[in-house]
This record gives sequence, structure tokens and C-alpha cells, in this order.
Amino acid sequence: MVEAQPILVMRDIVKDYGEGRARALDGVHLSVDVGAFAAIIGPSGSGKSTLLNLIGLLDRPTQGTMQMLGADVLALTPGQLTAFRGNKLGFVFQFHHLLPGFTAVENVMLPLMAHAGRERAGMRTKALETLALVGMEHLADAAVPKLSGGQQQRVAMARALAADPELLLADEPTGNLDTRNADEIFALLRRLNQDKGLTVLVVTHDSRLAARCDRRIEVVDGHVRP
Amino acid sequence: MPFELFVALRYLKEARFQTALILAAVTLGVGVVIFLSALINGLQASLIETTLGSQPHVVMTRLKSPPRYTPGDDGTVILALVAQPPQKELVINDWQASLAKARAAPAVEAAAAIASGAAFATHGIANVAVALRGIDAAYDHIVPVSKHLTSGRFNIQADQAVVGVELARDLGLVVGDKLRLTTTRESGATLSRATKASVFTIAGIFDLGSRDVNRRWVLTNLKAAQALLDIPGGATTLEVRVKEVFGAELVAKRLAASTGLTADSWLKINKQLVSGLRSQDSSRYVIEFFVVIAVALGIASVLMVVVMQKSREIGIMRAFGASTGQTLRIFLLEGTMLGGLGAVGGVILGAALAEAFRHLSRNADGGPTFPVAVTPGLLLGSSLLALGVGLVASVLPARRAALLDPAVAIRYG
Repeated sequence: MVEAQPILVMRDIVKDYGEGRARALDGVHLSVDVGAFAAIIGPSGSGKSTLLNLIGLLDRPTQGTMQMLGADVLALTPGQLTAFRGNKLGFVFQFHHLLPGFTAVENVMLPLMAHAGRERAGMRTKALETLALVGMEHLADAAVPKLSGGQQQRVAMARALAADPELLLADEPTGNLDTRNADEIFALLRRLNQDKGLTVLVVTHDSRLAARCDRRIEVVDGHVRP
Repeated sequence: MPFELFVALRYLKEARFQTALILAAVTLGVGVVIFLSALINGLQASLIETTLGSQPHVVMTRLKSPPRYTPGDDGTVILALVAQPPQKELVINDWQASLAKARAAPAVEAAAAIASGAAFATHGIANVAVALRGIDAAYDHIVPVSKHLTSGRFNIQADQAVVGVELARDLGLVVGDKLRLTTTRESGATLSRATKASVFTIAGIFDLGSRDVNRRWVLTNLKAAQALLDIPGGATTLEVRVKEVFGAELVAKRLAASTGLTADSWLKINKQLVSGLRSQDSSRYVIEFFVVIAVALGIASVLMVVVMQKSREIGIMRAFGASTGQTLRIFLLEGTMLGGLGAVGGVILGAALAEAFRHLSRNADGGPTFPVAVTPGLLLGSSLLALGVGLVASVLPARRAALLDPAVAIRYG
């Protein structure tokens, strides 16, 4: 039997916000395997988003160690960190956070354009392929404000997937959608996990969706209960 | 298209109203700078041309006699105050060597020897005191008399002479008329007076733009003047035209050092004019400074608003891998593009204003009051200034954008 490799290992992670302010995370130990489909759950203010920001390398812990894909990510320079984030991680947010001045396909192209070394000629093709993956290729040239909430979230997923990440971080991806759209988005995440082996970490308040994940990581008062 | 340019262009397009407003401000600023500079440059060029139209850039004369000192009994020096008697022109006898040195100087365009002195001009029953100036052909390169002839030709050979329009009017002269010039010189020993006279044919009449010059000057050849002024083979001044008019003072100092003669530049001779020109320059720089500051503040404030409005988008871009450098460059490019586009508009506006002014402000003869000098250098310089201002003005907003904490920006926008 082949043992699953961890994509993420966090040890003794502490996160304080400024001097004398509340401790958001306190001694977190967390290991996530490659190909996992896990929900991060917990009450509001428990530290879920802080944990996701640390995993997404958008923030740094006050203390502790973090290994991602075998790399000591806390030892990376800001430039290496940016490149790592761009090449290995994908983000989906509760409010799609698409750039409203750009079309759907342009939003998907932006991460590709930002990454040095990508072939410029193939960017639109790659972006269209990614939009097809989420069923949005027919609206590729539509302006973002003209898309429905569900469509916008699909485009946001395509943007997150454009650079072929190995870990997808989704912060309440269905929180702003009706049940039908929420189910569709969740199904899409599940399909990407199963078909492409993409590791998915989803922060959610929705216990119904959390129950459909393979693993639930509960954050309570800054502590993680795996 | 690079990522930064793609995003910067889209942001400018997205905020059409803001972009249009700030572009209008930059265009107006650059246009005002160009128009103002063109106006003042034109005015100054006109003033300088008028002033130097009848003046050499450097005048070299023989050193005046030094003051006389009387040693006191106790070794102190007593400066004798002596009323200066009217003096005869100090003649430069060995002027050929000094002239050769002046002509060999790299900053000198032309140099000529002049024999000048007072004379009486008579035509018919009219006579008037004039300044007789004996020149050679090179003089026309110093004061371009031939370009300012109102009639006749610039011919100073043999017994030919050219005179100014005012003198011609006073004496009723036309080309071809005879003019009698008389000089009187005192003999130092006997105090007797020697009078010499020659008759010249008027070959041409000039208008050098100076009433005094037009009324007083009679130009003829050097030899004839030397004979009339009783300074055989001598010259009273060496006159020089330099390549760069504002470098005349330095040239004068060098020529004085190399020849031992006194050398005065037009800048020294026309101190009041130079002071006026410098005051104009100072006024222009003050106005331009405030225009530049206003444009810079305009660009900076618009970009600062954009950065605040786009904080969340900047955070998102950082999250998907845009570097701090890329974020910085997006806003630096925006500022530079605003400066650049404003420069294009400003060049058109400034040139149009200058052209309109040229047509609106006219003399009685239909010519422009003074030339408005819109030069390629001015347009290029103003454009580069606008680009630079745009770039500098965007540094602060760009830094603010680049230093945004992506997690905070995404969460709180």
C-alpha cells in the first residue's frame, strides 16, 4: 500500500495580531495529504480565515514551522513566496472578487500574464480551456458585471485553476450563492479533486457541504481539531 | 502585452471620467508651460536680436592709462584726483596680432578691426555730427548690415559709404548722393587744429533697428577712415561675434587675457537688459514650478484614489502571484501614461495657443508683434518634463499599492 504524501505540514503554529492583541491561532498542528478534499469548519472568529491566509502564504505565522510540497515556505524570500503562491496555489473567495473592468477570459488570463516564463501566445487558449473546465467558455468575452453570481464564481474558480495549482484554497466559495448554485460549485470542486487529483481545502459554514467532504478540520478558539 | 501595461491601461480606461479630468489638467499644464516658454523665448530672442543687431558681442579696446599715483614722503601712496581731460581715441597700432588671436579662438565666429571717430557729415547746406566707422568686409559677419539695407548695396570700397536711414533722412541723402566727411584733430604740441575732409558716394542705406545707430553711423572702408581720423594703420576697436551669445562674457575674459586689451561683452555693456531677461526667466520658472507642482499633485491624488478603490483587486492580484514589483509598475506606468498622454495634448494645445497668439498680436505692418518661438527642443523638453512629473507623482501611490498586505486588502478592501 502506497502511503499518501503530505502536501502541507504545519507544526506549533501561533499567530498573534500585533502586540497585546488576541491570539488568533495557538499551537496549530496540521497535516494535509496530496489529493485531500477537506473542509475547514468552525464558528465565526475561531481562526478559520487566519489559518487559510497562512496556508495561502498571504500572511506569516508568529511562530512555528510550515512545509508545503516539501519546501520550508517560511524560509522563502518575498519573491520566491510570490512565485510559489502563483505556481502552486489557487484561491477562490466568498465574493468572487473578479476584477470588474476585465472580461471573464481576461480575468482568467491575468494570473498567467503575471507569471514570468509563461508563453504569452498560448495564454488565451489556456484561459479558454480552463473556462471550459468550469462550463463558462461560452461567456468568455462577457463583462464580469453582466454574469450571474454562480457564473461569476465559476469564472473565479477558472482563474484559480488557470496556473495549474496543486492546492486549491476556497474561502466560503458557496457562501454567497443559492442552494442550486452552491451545489453546482461544490460538485465542480469535487470533480476537480477526483478527476485531476487537486488538493482542495474549503472553509465553510455550511455543515451540509462540510459533511460531503472527506475530512473536516475544526478550528475552535485558535486550536485545530483534526 | 506585459501584465503591468495590460492592467494599467485597463484601469485608465475603466476610470474614464477621472482619467479624462486629469488628462485635461496635465494637457492644460503642459500647454501653459509650452505657450509661456515660447512667448518669453520669443520675446527674449527678439530683444536680443534687436540689441545685438547693431552691436558686436565683444568689443576690444586699448587699455586706458592707469591712474597716476604720487608717493608721499613717508612712503604712503597718495591718489591724485585729476579731472580727466577730453581724450583722443586710444589707438591699437599692433591690432593685426590681436585680431588673429581673436579669429583663432574656437568660440569666435568672426572678428574685425574698426577705426572709428567723430566727424561732420555735410550734404548741401545740411551738416550733422556723425560717428565715422572704418570697417573691412568681415564686419558684415559681426553686424549684418547687408541684411538690413533699405536701399542700395553694402559697398564700402574706395570712396563708397553706407549710412543709416535716419541720417539719410536728416541730410536728404539717397543712394548715389555725395557726402562730405570732415574731421578735426588737435596737434598736441602747438594746440593747432588740423582738418581733413573726404567725399564719399552713398552706396547703401541701412536700418539696424536702433534710432541712434541709424542717425549717427557712417560706414566706409578701414583705410579711408584711418586717413580721415589720422590714425594711419591703426584701429580703435576690435569687434567680435561669438558662436554662443550668452558665452560672450567668458570669451571676452579669455580674449583680454590673451591679447592684453580691454574686452567687454554685450552682457556687461547691456547690464539692464540682461537683468531684465533674468527677471523674465525667474518669473517663468516660478510659474512653471507651480504648474508642475499642480500637475504632480493632480496625478498623485487621482492615483491615490485609484489605489484606495482598487485595494481589494490589488490584494487578489497579489494572491494569484503578482509580485510587489509588478504592482508597483502598474501604477508607475499609469502615472507615466497620464504624463505622456497629457504631454501629447499639451504639445498640441501649446503649439495651437502660440499660433493663435502669433495671428492675434500683430504690428501695424501686419507682422507679428514678436516671434513666438515654439522649437522642437521646447516641445521635447516639456514632454519629457510631463513624463517625468507623471512618473515621480505616481511613486507614492505605487509604493502604497505595492506594500498593501494582500490578506488585509482582500478581507477589508
